[in-house]
Amino acid sequence: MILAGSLALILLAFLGMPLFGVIGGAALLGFQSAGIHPAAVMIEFYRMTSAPTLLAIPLFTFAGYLLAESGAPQRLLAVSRALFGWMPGGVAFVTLVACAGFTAFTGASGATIVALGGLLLPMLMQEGFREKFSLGLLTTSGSLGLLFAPSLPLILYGLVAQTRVDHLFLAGFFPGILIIGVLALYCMRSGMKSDRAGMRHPFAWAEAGRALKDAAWELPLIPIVLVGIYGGFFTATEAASVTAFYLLVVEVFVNKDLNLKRDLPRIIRESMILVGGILIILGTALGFTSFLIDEEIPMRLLEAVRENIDSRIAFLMILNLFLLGVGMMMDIFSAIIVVVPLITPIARELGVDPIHLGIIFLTNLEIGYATPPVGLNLFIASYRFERPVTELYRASLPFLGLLLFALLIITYWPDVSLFLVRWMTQP
Amino acid sequence: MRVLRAFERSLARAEGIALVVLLIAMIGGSFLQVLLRNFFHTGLEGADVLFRHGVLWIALVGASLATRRARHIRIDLVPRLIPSGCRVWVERITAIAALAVAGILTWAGWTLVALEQEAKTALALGVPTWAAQAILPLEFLIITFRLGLLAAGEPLEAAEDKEGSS
Repeated sequence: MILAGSLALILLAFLGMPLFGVIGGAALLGFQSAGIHPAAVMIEFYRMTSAPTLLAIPLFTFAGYLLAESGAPQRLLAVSRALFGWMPGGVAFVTLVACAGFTAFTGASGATIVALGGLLLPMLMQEGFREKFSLGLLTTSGSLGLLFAPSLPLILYGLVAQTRVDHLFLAGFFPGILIIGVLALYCMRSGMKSDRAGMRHPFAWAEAGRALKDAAWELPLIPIVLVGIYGGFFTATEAASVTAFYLLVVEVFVNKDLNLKRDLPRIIRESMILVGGILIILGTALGFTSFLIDEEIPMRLLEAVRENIDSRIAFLMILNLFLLGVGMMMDIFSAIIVVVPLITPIARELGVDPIHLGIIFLTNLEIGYATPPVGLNLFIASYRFERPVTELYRASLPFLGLLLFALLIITYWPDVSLFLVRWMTQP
Repeated sequence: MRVLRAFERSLARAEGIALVVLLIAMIGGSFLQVLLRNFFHTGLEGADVLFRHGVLWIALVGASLATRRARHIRIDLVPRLIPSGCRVWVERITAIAALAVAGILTWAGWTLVALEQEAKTALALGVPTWAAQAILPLEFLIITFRLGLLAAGEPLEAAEDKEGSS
């Protein structure tokens, strides 16, 4: 009965049953088999309200939607173009910076490709980049910036793994820079090889001044959030509150990009539907995880792992492969909610730092987003640029190779992630 | 069916308004809290607990609206690959399965609220805990209802309805 139920749920999951139903069903089956009342699932669901960073999730999601719906993407693009457009491979570098900044604030829900892709593709082609290069760059850039504060996946990981979100923010900084750096080198090489490399723009003070002035209200947000969080003045939740309040005032009353009556209710609904979709999975998963822990499943998993894998390196290697697979199948939020509770006890036992694990986890999922055949970014890009998915497979391959290279460094050299945490938290 | 659909639409409108009110209140309230804490070294007593419960409410109302728009997070690899005639049936089957789970969770939530009502605990500012938890069975009931309409093949997302924008 239990076995049949579990098999049915797995089949239904692949047929597209909402994941909260799959996980909730699994939790109900589990408690049923253990003779525990179904109310246990709801008790665990309700336990969500004791997580201190919970409030940051709706506030940052709302702030991200506000940014995406306002004129901020264009202004952000103008600023990065004015500041970095003079470099070799300039527009490609602009793409990396703008996408990373945008994703850090909007949280990799596909918004980056939709909001910036349409503006960047013609820019890249115009500057002499090949179409294949441009498509590949935009597809992989769609989840770039995931490792920078205040990205939603980092907050969610901290909440699920019960590690400190501020430490995760610190730990993500250098790995994020590393990924951008690796891609930037490739972009510069392509830029120099391009026939029209002579088209490089000299730096123009007037243009820079104009772009900075247009974005004068949004740009202060970056230092406010970064100094606030990295400097330890704000908690993640406080930063979320300040960001949401500030952007609401700026986009509605100062820039007047969004109308209070016409746009605001719609944006709130759209963003909170995403929040509801994530948190209902988190709630049911809390029930399922508590069943797993009652049954000591992570412990048994750990024993099985220990019998077969004895070194940290081997574990990390298998973890990388496993997570790339997860990243291809699942969106980042449900992947964090479902997989993290199973992995953390094993990682701890093998001496992997939970903060480092978080960075490995998110880097893997970031790559999985653009990995054929089913990475989500490929489909979003295919939809946005009206190209067949197979064309995007080929276009994104060289970029995936570079990202995998960065992943290896991040995974096997923990200090890249942990150095800043140690440095900032030493007494 | 027509009556049920109209009822569903008015529910959606009310839920849309609830989301707007809840989120605006929480943005304002939490910002005030940040100001009080950092500049006046004080704070609203019990506010943090209430905010976190506000998130619970937002989550469930948002999830309920996600149901009507078919925007729940799912693994949509197979639905994307199969022909659309097949897809309609697959969607009905998964809706029925989700309906069964949501139905049991409604009852589970109801049991939790009943237990909490007997315990008579208070959350903060005189709000009893059971009242904050009541959103669990309420929204799971609405989710169950919507999944029922979807399983019966009723389209929920009509172009003209706007979920509470007046």
